[in-house]
Amino acid sequence: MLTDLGHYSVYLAFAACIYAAVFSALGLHRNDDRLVQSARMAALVTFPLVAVGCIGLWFALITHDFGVNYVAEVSNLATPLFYRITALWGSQKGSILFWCLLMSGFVFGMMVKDWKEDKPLLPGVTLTVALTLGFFLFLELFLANAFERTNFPPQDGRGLNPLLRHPGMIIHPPMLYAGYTGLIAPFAFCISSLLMRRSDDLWLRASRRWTLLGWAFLAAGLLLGGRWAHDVLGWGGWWGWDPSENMPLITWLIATAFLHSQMIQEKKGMFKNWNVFLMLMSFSSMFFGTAFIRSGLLTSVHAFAASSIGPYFLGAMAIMLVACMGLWLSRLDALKSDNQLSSAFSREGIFLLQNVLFVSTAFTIFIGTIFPILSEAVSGQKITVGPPFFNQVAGPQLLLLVLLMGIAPLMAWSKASTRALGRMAWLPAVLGVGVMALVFAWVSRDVVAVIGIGLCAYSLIQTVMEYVRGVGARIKGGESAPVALGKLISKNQRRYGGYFVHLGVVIVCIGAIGKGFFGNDVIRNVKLNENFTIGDYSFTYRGLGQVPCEFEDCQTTQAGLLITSVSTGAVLGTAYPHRDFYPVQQHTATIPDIAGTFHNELYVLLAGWENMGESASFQVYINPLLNYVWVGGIMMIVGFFMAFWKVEEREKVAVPVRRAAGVPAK
Amino acid sequence: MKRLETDCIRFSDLNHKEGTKNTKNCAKRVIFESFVFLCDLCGENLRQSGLEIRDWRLSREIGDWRLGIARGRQANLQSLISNLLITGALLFLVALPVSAQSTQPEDQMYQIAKQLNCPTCAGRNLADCPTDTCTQWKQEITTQLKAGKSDAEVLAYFKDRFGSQVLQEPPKEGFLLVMWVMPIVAVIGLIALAVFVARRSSSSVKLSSVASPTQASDYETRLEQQVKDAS
Repeated sequence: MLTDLGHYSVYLAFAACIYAAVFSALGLHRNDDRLVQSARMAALVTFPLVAVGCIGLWFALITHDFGVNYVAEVSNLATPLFYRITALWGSQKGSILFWCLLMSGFVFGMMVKDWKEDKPLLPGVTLTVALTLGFFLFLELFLANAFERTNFPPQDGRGLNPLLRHPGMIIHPPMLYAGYTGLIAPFAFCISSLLMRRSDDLWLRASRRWTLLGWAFLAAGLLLGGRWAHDVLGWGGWWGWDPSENMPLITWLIATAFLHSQMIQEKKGMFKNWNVFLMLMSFSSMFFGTAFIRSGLLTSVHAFAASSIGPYFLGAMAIMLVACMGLWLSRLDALKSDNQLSSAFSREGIFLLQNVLFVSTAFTIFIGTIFPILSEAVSGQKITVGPPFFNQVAGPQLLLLVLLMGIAPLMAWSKASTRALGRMAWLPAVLGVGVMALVFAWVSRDVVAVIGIGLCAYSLIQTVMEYVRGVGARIKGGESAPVALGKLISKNQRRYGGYFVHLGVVIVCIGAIGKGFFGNDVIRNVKLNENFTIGDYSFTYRGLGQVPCEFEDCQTTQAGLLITSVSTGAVLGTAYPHRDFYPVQQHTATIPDIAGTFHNELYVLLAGWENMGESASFQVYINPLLNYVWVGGIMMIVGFFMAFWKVEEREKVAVPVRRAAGVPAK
Repeated sequence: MKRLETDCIRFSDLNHKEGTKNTKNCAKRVIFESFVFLCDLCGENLRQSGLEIRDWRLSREIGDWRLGIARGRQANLQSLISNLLITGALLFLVALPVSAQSTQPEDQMYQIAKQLNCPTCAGRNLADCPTDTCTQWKQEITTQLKAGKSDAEVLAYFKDRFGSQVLQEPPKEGFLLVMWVMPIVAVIGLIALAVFVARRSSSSVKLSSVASPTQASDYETRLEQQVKDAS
């Protein structure tokens, strides 16, 4: 009952989208505000309607209504309540519905606000969001309907994909979807600005917080995805350059470039065309990525999401891209810069370089991800592009970006001076080289790792120095240190929040380098009560046995290992890696156990056993600094909040002045 | 090996004496001491890892050269630092030839497996995949290694039999070169494009430097910067 109500409610939402699209277009054409307001209301109402749809599906999931195909596909009688709720996004059909919910949520947020000075953009924004959301609702209703019923309900469902039974699954997909769908806001404002023939930065200012929000969700989603892979997939790492990671990363990189270059347009009236280009690229990369992961064209750890809707995504993307590009090219001349680049050696110049690097890194990852398809189409040669390609080609570009992060804040606008730069950079540079020497002497002889850590150290110190310099100046003004720090950040949240994000990014990089270069892993077969060693760690195999599984539909075999230190003989801990076998899905999950310290994670996997556990194989990873990745991720989110909170109110002061230059040409 | 070690100690001793004599400034001494510390560390570390130093004479030259710096009476802080940096870089080069490969047969198999893809685990390498097929493949590697094949030969065997898709790193040949070259072309192309656009806009827009509100705020940031620098 409630489920059917939800189904109809989604139809209504689709109708509302069509209504909003038609009436906003009419309103735009006739310049009639009443039509636009009506369209806005229609767009607003999609959120509650889609929400009712989700509640309907949740109801079916919770009450085990196996008459609904989707429910039988993703849950069974044994599925705990928690995973029945998260099963809403446990498979293709439901996840599109959930996607629509998040997107309509963003639309609701955009539409519900008061639209004062950005009112001229309203018709175009409404039109764009209505068309985009309409497309996804169309997919849900006509191509991948989660509400589909069968006349012969099965006794029990198949159960949730074992890979998805992880707490990370509560938050990782919603975060990623929220990041993706959040981009609808800047995209809609951008298209609207083009439609209205505006050349000012109103669209940037009106959508900035939305962009930041989408960006942060995407970052969090990517890192949580890494955490999920780390905990569930059992390959010892956190990042595998898998297509399903690469595609969101591409979008994130372009969005990051956009966040930076929009500052140049706001401050100097430059890079206008570039900003539009970046926005179009990041939004179409979202479409493209989703299409590719869903299409099953690429082999990926997300292969379970494959379905037939990929071509529709690609088609929609092609239409959207052609339309947007056409619109943009027709406005190309209106978007000339207000200022010229006076010197390449300036903040603007280095921002340009940084933007180029972001885009080329994204492009590199893109090429590597889709090349298996290209290669097979062009030369018939089947290939796999694994991590080595990305590490070798995208890695150096990412390291350069880390370096730029430590240089750009020192550069003055318009024209920077070498002397000032040298004065501020020498100490962090010396310390960076010192860190290199220490790493070289103690940790690793790998040139790339040593240089990488050195660059990270330099940027880290330089960014901390930004705070130190700021606080120092305020302390001289007679403030106490905590007050000075608080005021420094609250007076310029965007800047110091941004620097905090930089700190987080550097820490993530340190973690990535540590894991990638300083780590070690071995596979060993040992007999009962015998041991093997890696570095200073000794692992003694103490036994194997069946233990109750976390879920009712699986069988768990667990091994016990005692970890001791070779040099001191002290007991460092125990590890219980296990293997879960799911008979229904014929799937084996190799679940690691994690031991060790914060700095040196020990990741232990049970790789196999013989003769009822007389001997067993273990794969052990030593992951130094890996935990920095999660810490850095949290810092990035904290930095985001520092920049996000209250930002708009401050900026409003500057609005009336700058508005003069941006009167629509229409 | 021994010679490098003694060398290192010798010139660190010298640095110590000369350094403290020459540099009354505390900062200079701190840098000196930390360099001495690093030098010792390097020597210690090299000895521990039992490295073969191919050209120990280079380290002697560094030692002599460092001595020269320490003797220079009016060495100021900046030249001191730059010299230290160069010395550090040279030391770095001297110690570069590092090779510490473990020779356990299990590890050799594992290293090869890491360079191969598994047919049954999507998106993972052979070493990390627990399926039966992969176990067989790993056994195949072990068998071939026991038969005396080299790493490259084993990889070639798999490539010939299953095609390039079994390799984690696609070969740099034929059409695949495009993939390796394209990113580099992209970086250069984008920079060229940026320069071109910047040039074009600077030649077409001449009147843009009329005072605009954005420049006022720019002035403010510069002022702020100056205030900061002065403090």
